[in-house]
Amino acid sequence: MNSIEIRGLVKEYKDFTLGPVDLTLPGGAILGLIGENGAGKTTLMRCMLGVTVPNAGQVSLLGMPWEEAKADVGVVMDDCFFYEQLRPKDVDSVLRRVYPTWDGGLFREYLDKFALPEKKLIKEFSRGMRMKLSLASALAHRPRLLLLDEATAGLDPVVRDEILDEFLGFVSDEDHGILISSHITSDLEKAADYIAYLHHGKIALCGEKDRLLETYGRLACTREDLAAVDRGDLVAVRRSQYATEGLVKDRAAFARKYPGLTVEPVSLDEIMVFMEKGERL
Amino acid sequence: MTGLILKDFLCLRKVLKSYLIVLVIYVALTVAGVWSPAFTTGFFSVMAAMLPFTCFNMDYTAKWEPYGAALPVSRNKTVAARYLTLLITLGAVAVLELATAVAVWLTDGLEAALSSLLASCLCLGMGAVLNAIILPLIYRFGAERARIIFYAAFLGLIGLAVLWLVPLGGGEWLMEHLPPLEAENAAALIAALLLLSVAVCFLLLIPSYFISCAIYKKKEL
Repeated sequence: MNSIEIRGLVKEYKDFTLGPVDLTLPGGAILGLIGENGAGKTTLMRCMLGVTVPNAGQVSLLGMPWEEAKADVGVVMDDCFFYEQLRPKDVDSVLRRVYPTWDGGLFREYLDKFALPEKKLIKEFSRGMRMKLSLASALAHRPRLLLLDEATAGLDPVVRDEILDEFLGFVSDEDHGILISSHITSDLEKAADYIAYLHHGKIALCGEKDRLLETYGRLACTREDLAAVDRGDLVAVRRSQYATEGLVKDRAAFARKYPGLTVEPVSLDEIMVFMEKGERL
Repeated sequence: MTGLILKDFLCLRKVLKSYLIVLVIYVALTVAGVWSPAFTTGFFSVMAAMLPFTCFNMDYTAKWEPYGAALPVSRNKTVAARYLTLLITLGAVAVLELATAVAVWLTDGLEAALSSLLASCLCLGMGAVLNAIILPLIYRFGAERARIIFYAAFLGLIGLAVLWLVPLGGGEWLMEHLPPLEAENAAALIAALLLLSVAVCFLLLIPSYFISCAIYKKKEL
């Protein structure tokens, strides 16, 4: 069963339109959603959760309409949404009355694991502690799908690593799935199985992460060399005073066709920069 | 839904503690005869009626609304939870007012107790009416803008009342036309006002709730 199925989702604002977006996440996998600021990542997440009402399209989570799936979905947004005057034990008291499957013992296990004091006011927590509390809350009702919007933003590498390990443990169950939007592409390169790149409100790139990183490549060459390359063999190009670069979609095929040119592996960051700043072909 | 009501009260904990301290001071001053019981109970009715503003402001500060909408609680139930928080608060004030009236009855006699209860019922009823108006406005415009709209409308109504009363002789006209409060009449009048307050409380909050639901259902959070 697919964890997420989005078909033809459109959300229109005065100055921005998201979509149409089609996206599928199979069970037991992590989908990394990348894109520049304002690309529509948070809007997409909000549409999936019913926080924002889309103009068109369908969202199915865990094979159900989102309204029915909410109890099985854990949510972490880009900020801690709990009131500063509450304590983790208050969060437990509130959410056990909200989620039918809330597991107070599991919540306390996560508090211990993340070294979060149960009786300390949230306003005294650091950002890392707040995000860990959000994650503990999202996991303690034993969800089957996690939707994480910039959940690792602003965290130090050690905390990010701990949280990514939690995610990997979570998707070891094939019934589970995670959609995580992040600017920190190194996290996604470590954890994600699939990548969707949202660019100006549209899915510009979507596929298996390993395949994307294996097939896409960066061509560094002279202007003359670039002029000799068929435009159809490149996705985008960047020209500067000192260098000329091209984003290649099929590295192996390109190397066979142009044996004299060198194509290097490319990172998700570099793909994003090509798409955003380069000349699309 | 009970989780959301509990959340409201847990967040209001500090505010309620400060109210409790003020209550103790006010009760002491009332017992000492500095001011009347009606003033104390009226004051707490107003404070209770203002609590929804505090709740909405806390929601806004914590950026709770998007998260709240992602919880497995429908938007109608989210609205219902806020209305129930209000009703619980007003109910607690009603109990306080009743206890005050009983205390006044035991110390100062029936007439004073009835006067105290009369003032309490009016304040309580007004608290419910004000919230019935303000809650849909908050859902539509947010707490801060709704507060401004509300105060403008409230002052406008007072202005209209003054404009209407001044040509008629203001307070003198009212004094002439109000019935004299004799013990047996007062008891009947207070009982009627009490029922009326409760009726207004329920009758106005019900359509207000449905209006709030309709607004909140379409709201982008």
